[in-house]
Amino acid sequence: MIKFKNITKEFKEKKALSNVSFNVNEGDIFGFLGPSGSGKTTTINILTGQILQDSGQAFILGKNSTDISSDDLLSIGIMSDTVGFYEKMSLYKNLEFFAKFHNIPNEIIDDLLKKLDLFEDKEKKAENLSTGMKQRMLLIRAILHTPKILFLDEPTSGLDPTLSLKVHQILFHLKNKGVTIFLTTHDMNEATKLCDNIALLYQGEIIEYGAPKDIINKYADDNKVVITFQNGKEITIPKEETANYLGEFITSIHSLETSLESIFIQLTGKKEEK
Amino acid sequence: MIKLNRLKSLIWLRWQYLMSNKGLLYIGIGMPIGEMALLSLIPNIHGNAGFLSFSLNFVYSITSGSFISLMIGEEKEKKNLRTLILSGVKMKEYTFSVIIFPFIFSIISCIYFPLLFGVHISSWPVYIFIIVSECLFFILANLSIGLFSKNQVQASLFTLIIFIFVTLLPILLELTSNELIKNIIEWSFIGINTKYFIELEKFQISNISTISILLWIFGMSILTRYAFAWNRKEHN
Repeated sequence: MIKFKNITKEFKEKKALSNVSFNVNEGDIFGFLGPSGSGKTTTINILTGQILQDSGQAFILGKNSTDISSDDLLSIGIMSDTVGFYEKMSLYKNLEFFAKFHNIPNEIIDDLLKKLDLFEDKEKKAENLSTGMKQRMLLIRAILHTPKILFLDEPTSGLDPTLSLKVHQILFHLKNKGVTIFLTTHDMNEATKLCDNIALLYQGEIIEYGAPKDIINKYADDNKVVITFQNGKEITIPKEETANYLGEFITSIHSLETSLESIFIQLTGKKEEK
Repeated sequence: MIKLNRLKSLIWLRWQYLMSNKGLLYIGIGMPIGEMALLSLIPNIHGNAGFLSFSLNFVYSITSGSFISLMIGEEKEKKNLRTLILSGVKMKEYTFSVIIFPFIFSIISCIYFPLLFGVHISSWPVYIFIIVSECLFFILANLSIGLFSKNQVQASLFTLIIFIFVTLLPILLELTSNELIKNIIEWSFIGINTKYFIELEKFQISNISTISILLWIFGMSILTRYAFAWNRKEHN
């Protein structure tokens, strides 16, 4: 569904993407993870034909991304920094236009508004909505027509855990319908929970790529434990050294749980050292 | 191919946009009609063809002009244009939806003004050809201005340059009868309008200013097409 082959992109002096490659299968949720400025939005912009790469090739819906037509864009949903909304129009009218454009009944808007706790605020002017509300409105707009490919740039940043959960449920529902989802996030837990495959991006380079479980297993260290002392201090030590600390004021001892977050910190730390 | 439901939805969007932007509606439509209605109360102006010409230039520059560039300037600034493009809106669909209301209001104003100022129009078909051509040129020019501008302020500045050209040059010609200004006007996009109001009944549709306006419209159509394609890409 999506192929990104050896893409390099520079902005003035800064390298945004450096020889980046990955594939996204049809119906998968693909997570593109990395800190701000790591090249996530640039990747979406290249895939949707908004910017040209300096080298390499990007394919989407079986076409070179540079050849994407208006008709192809009808099968794509985008929620990112590059899209806007009509501030002086109501939340509902902003969505109603896209429903009319895609020939979709208004009941679908109502249903999504209810699912994302926006129904009561539907007549509010878009400019008066909170950041979280605007974000949910843009999400509804991107998924209203059940696109073949959905690009979501940090869809849950700034949302409370309950709303994030609702967004996750919607994304799973779309996945079950066969929608391919390309998700950028810096929330590693969200990616572990949602994604079939992920790519960890750092300073424009992919530093790890694969299924979240496989990556975690690859870096899991069963031989280490974490000891927490009464004074709040925490240390990570090899299992066999645990005995040395017995007798001290220990609150807990548990095995070291590897998470994408710890892997990311470990990998980027090594990269910085180099 | 333009799909009817998509076009209808874009026209619906434009109407909602105008209804929620009353200020823009006033600048684009209310101001030219309102000001001219007030001026028509001055007794000496009644029946004055020169003043009708001036008021038409006002409609071309504002209702067919700034109205459009300000709309698009805002849409670019607020990333709405990018959103529409990324949603699959085609250039023809967008262009039609943006120009439909300014075009209708311009034509209504241009037909209403001769009646308002009591100016006799010898040939309505010729008059209508002139106003439609002028409105089309100004619409396309301001569409390009809006599409190439980064924001509303930049769009207003470019529009102002055209407005000054359109309003000052015919006045300068009347005051000086300078040959150079005459030639510039004749080949410019306001040539046909200016010439019509100088020659009135003697005006021939087959003169050089007719060819000139058609060439300007053709040139602007190409520029608009390029401007829309340019907006599909990021330029920051």
